[in-house]
Amino acid sequence: MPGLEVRGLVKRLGDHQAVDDLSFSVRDGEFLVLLGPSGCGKTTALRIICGLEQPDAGEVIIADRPVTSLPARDRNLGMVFQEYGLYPSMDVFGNLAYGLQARGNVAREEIDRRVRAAAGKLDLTDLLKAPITDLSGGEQQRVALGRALVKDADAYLFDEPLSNLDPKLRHRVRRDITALHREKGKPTVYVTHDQTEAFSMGDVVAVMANGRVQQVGPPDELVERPANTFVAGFVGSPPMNLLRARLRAVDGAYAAVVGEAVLPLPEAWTPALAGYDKEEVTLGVRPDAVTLAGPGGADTLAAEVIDIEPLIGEAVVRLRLKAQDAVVSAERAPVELGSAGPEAAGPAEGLAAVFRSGEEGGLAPGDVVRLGARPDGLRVFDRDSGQALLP
Amino acid sequence: MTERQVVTEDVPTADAAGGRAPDKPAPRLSRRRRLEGVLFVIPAFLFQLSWGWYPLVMAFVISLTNARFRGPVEFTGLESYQRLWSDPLVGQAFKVTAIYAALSIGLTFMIPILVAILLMEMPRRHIRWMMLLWFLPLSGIASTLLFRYMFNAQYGLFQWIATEVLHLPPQPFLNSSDQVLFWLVFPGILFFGPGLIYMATLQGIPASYYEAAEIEGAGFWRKVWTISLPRLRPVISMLLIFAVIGSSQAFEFPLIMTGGAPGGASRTVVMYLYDLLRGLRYADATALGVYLFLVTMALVIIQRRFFREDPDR
Repeated sequence: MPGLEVRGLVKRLGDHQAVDDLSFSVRDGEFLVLLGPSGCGKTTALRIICGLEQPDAGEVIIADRPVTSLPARDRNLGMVFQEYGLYPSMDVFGNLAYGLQARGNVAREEIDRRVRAAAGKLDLTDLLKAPITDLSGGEQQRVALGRALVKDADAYLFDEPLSNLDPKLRHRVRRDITALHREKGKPTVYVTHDQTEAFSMGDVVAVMANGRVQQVGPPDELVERPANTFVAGFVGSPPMNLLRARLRAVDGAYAAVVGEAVLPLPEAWTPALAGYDKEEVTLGVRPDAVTLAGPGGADTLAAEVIDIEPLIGEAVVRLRLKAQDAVVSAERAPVELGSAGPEAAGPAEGLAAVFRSGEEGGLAPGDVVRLGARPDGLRVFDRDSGQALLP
Repeated sequence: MTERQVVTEDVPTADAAGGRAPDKPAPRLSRRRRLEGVLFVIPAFLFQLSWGWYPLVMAFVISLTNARFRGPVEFTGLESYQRLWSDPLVGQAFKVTAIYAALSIGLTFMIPILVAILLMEMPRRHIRWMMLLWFLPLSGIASTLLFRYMFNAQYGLFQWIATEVLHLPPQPFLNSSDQVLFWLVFPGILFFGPGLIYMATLQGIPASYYEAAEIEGAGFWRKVWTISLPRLRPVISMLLIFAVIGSSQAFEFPLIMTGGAPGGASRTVVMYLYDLLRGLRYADATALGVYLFLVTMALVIIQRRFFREDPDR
């Protein structure tokens, strides 16, 4: 029984199709993250769910109750905003109690008890009488969380709640949000453009672009099996490399040909690819699946090292292919999915590879290397539609 | 460490001795800043002294004499004050001013708060129309003269509305001693109101406050009470002082509209003061001014008390 469901939401803002036939559902106790570049419609979707915007079409169902035509105040939701939305004329207690008082049917002692309990969990007890304006950003956002915590809402919504906080505070508030979600056991919808946040918090991540959900799934699935070139070029850091390739049958199995290089594809794909009638495809190569091939392999990718970015336990190496024309930056991804914003620009000027520490050996910028790819890190997309050929 | 100590110790000395340490940049800079500050303040200070404080003090001094147009001036103590105290016209003028002030604060000060709050709920288009009305660049005297014609009991626009549109018996308007004050205040409801400032303040409130409140389950009045009004409070407080001072000194508008008629029913304190001046009773006129000053000061002090705490801290 889904705790929150949206069906076929459509919303036009001016002449921009902000939300285009959006549907998804979140079960009780499930944490769904709407992840997407700015302008993809994720915030608009959230505002429709909470009732601050009316959809042009579609339905919102919360706790089996259609709420599409109800005003925000009758939807019984808890929401946390990016700019906190606290009342500067009140102290912390007043802010925490606001929602319960507005409802008008909660006894004074009960309000007091709940506010104190929430304040205790969020380390706000000492600040209860402090005016909001004296609080730091992190404390203010915790008050906003507390306001959601004191009530028994049917669903909890978060609109980029960490964006205004510095990294140190983010960590704390993130844990508080997860704790709130666990305690309430209600559906949570969390909007963000930050992948790290999305992957660390979400049970399920819905990647959005152009007002539509591109793919819904657990974080691993999005990284390993992106459903289309947009998701492939958006998810992951660095995201999947996209290359122009031709399919060729070799010895009963298939391989992708990039320039003069031949990259074998998993044998399990053979039946599916046999039924595919086009030769030109877009090949996705996960950065961590790029391997260094021995010298002289004529059918491997020749590339020059541009730079090496050492990270903890691994290194991101940027390479310029000899067959550089083959690289599709996400900006050149199919029009239907296009205009994904700067975050999705991806490996615009080359191929990204992630090597475990040591694996990259003595590479230095300027070195010419030969590359292969592990078959399990490859993905094949239709060149025109951008959709993955295999599930 | 030692260097820092030397500097901190030296700053006050250099300041006090003025230029004893010309090779130290910091004190010189601060002295220069102070000099600049003083230079900038001097003109305003002189202006305030000659047009603000000098007349105020002189009014006190003159009110304690028997100053007339000509003849020797003698110190007569509180004689003028006693004379005014028993003058029935003074009592009437204060009463008229009080009613006028109450009406104008009630109608042209409070109503726009409500209107502005309600307007914020409306589509942008309507908001612009109302702002235009409030913002009409009307010349004070010209519009006053215009209103005098509109209030004319024989051929004025308001009379036409009363008889032809509302089918009421002809109204006396400014000729009735009961109605005159109301009609004097009436135009201010639509025009010259502080509504524009309220609107500007309300538009400056981040939408997220209202949105958060809405999701928390707050209705319209609760939002007004917990968000709009607290935000307007400092503005209301400031404008109220201006309104109290302004309406207690009402002069040119009633003077042009009615000249105090009928029978002194619209003669304010300042108008009576003007009459005294024209009668060359300088001492009495200044004494009346001092009375008005005291009353206004008292009102402002009470009002400051009432609005003392600042909501935003």
